[in-house]
Amino acid sequence: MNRLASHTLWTLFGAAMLAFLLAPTLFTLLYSFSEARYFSFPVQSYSLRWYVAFFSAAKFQKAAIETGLLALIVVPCCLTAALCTSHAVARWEFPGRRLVDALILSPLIVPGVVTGVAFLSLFRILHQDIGLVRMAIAMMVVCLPYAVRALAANYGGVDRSTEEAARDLGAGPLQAYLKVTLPQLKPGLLAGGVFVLVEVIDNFAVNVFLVDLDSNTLPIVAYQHIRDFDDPVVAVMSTLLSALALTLVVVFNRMVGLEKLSQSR
Amino acid sequence: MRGGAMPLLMLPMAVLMALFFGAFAVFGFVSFLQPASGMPGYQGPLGLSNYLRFLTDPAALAILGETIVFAIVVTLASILLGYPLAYIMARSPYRVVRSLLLGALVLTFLSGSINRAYGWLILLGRRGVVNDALLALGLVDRPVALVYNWTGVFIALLHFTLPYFALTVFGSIRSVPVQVEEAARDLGAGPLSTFFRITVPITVPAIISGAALVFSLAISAFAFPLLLGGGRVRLISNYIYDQLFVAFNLPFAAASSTIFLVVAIATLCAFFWLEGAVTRRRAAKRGAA
Amino acid sequence: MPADVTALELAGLRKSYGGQAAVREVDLRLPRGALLTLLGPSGCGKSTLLRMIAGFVEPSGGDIRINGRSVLALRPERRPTAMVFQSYALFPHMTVFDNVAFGLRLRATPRVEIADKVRRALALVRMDAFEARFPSELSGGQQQRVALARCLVVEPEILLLDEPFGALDRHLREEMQVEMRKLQRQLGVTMVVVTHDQEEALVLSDYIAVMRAGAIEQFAEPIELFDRPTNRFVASFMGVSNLVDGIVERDGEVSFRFPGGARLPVVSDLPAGPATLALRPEAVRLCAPDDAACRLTGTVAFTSLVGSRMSCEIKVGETVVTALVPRHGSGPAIGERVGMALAAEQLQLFAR
Repeated sequence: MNRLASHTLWTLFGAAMLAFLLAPTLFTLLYSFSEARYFSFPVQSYSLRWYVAFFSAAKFQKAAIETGLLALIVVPCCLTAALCTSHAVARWEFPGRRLVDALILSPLIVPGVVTGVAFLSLFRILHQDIGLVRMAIAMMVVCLPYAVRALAANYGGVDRSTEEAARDLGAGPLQAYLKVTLPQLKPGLLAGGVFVLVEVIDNFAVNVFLVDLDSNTLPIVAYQHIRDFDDPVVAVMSTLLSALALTLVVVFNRMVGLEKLSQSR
Repeated sequence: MRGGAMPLLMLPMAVLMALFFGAFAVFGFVSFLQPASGMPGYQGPLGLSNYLRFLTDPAALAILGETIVFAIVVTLASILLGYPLAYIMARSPYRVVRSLLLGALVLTFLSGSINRAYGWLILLGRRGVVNDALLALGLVDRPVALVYNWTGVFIALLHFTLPYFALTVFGSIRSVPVQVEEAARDLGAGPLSTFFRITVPITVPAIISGAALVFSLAISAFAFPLLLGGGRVRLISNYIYDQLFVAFNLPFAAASSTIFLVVAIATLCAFFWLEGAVTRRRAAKRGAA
Repeated sequence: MPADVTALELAGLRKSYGGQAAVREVDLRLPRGALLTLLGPSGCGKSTLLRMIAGFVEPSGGDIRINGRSVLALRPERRPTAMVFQSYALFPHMTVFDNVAFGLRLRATPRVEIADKVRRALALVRMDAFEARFPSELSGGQQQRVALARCLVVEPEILLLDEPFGALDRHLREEMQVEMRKLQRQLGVTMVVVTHDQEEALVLSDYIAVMRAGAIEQFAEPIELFDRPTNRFVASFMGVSNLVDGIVERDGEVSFRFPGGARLPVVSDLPAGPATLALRPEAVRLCAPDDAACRLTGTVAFTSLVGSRMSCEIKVGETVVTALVPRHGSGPAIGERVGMALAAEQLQLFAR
């Protein structure tokens, strides 16, 4: 293979992969702005009518609030739990530490539907009927591994002697942690936060078992809408969530760099 | 912080894990009970009937088998497309190319699964862009069925798993020093030979762990077959969902889930064993040489 | 092996990155069997030059000829060169044996012959007992030997080494330098070594090319370079720490005027005008100010002990001359007025 041919091949492959990765997002974007109910390409005329329809639909409003609430509960709680855990695991030699490591990661390998059914059985016994509570607990468990992994990867890079230097210079244990260790954990916290947020907003397989009659998250309501209607309202929701993802990507890239994100996964 | 505070720090994690394993304890118990009438209820006596029913039902076993085969196919496709993709991201001499691909990958990774399933529904539908393009190019003379069958689920699921694999392998390729590849070139290996004799073998552990990740995502796929399978493509997750929300049989759903979980964990163990075997083989070669 | 055959020739070799010149117009000929060191501070273009010879960097202009044949059109894997990388770049997934056999296997060498050649190469670097190990199980020095064996086994026309001893500790470095030199002599292989360490260059080389800002400042044999640096940069890089900017005067006899007035008679064909005097601290001999050999006088400003010798900073007019002298008793006292005897052949003058 000569140089030019291999260069061309790589370029074509890269371009094809880029197209493959971005196509669904881009066409959903186009669809959300099209006037027509049915998608056709190129788009005949543009309008914001489906945005109006999305924002005025009570079920999407309710679901957005429910999802937002869920994220507001789960993200901070999960990060706090993960911070405590990763600190203990990184700094405390205790028997069975490896076992704890494995236990924390176990929700990762259990298929979502299985986790959903398991939590459903548990909450049935506990007579817990409020969807938000059920989902919040399940999401914290499901998301904990993501946050712990991101932080553990970060802890490996934190030089313990910086904390000792702070102690040596007169900082108390908590002060040393807050002023020296925690700032160094920023990339891990950010990456963990992003993963948890995305998982909470996007989770379908677990939450579909846990919602109650008057609570619905965005993916579930979107699924029901796609099942029952054929119009671009869900395209609007998708586009808005993709915009959120893009914002996260840009912010994360600015603050720590994208490569860090892939390392802490 | 001294050891005294450490147990306290483990408390939140311990509570969450207790809930998780508590859920599985209850669920395991329920799987041995019998369904009762009413909102999914259950009653005694304890027995293995749910497990026996699953293991003797050809339809259920077929779904489990299809799920595994399908997950293997998705995993292989992710390796074949994801590895070169990660290689370009790690080694392209152009910064723009690297950041563009990485950005697209992370964006895809972060945008939700329902969103993407929906995007593919638009693209692959009977009146979708892909069919339009195929018709316009004269490659087909009438729309091809790309959704509500295995093809659609495969494409969307591959799109979902690809970033996981590529990002895992990307880090590993990046950690191979360029000089190692240059040394191979210097000693007489061409670009292809260097790729297959040096880069790929060094990153085999990452390929296996990426494949394990993709496989466990693919085997538990739920939303993609639900949206793009049109009821015709059912994977084991959809089967379990149906047991609960169509047949209202929680004990049987629990038993099916348990069997599924065992299979999933067993295959993951196989992956880890494979990863270990590769490392062991390298060590063994050392003894033999 | 005839020593006068040119193994490597660089002609007008250039490399620029976006208008920024990394290597400019390098011309050089190296006889077969010789060891050339490219010496210079980091960023002087020495590594770029080496990577151009290996084929990893495409020159912007000029030619590279090995045994009289241009290799510009050849890709790295086709060039008759082999390189020992600074990081050694051993293949982590292969044993020492497989690492060394790599190049031979690509050349479709028969199995028996491979085993034979690999073992001989490993014996040469005294690593034959380690052939079953993985690189991660070796020390830095051992890894380096393997990297060397891996290159030697393919019998390259030119062996390239990029900062080969940079990652080793001082003691091991000195040992390896001597060993490498002996091995090179024994095998008669042509080598190009990149380093920033002038002592290393002196130990190893048949020729040294001192580089700065992409150009060769001086190309010479080590002794010549040490004794007769041709400009201020080379002198300072070769460890000449007394570099005094003054003026050459020609009124009957030639002399060098220090800033502040002191005059030193010199032998030089430089025209009258600004010049730099280069003087090795160890070439200065102290004497009484009224001694017949005394050429220059000054006041001792500072002394410190350097092993068996003493380093004296002597103030001469507005400048300071450092002298490294044998220690007698407690040595000269601070504030003491001393004379300096300087051998004319150890003085160097450069035009400014």
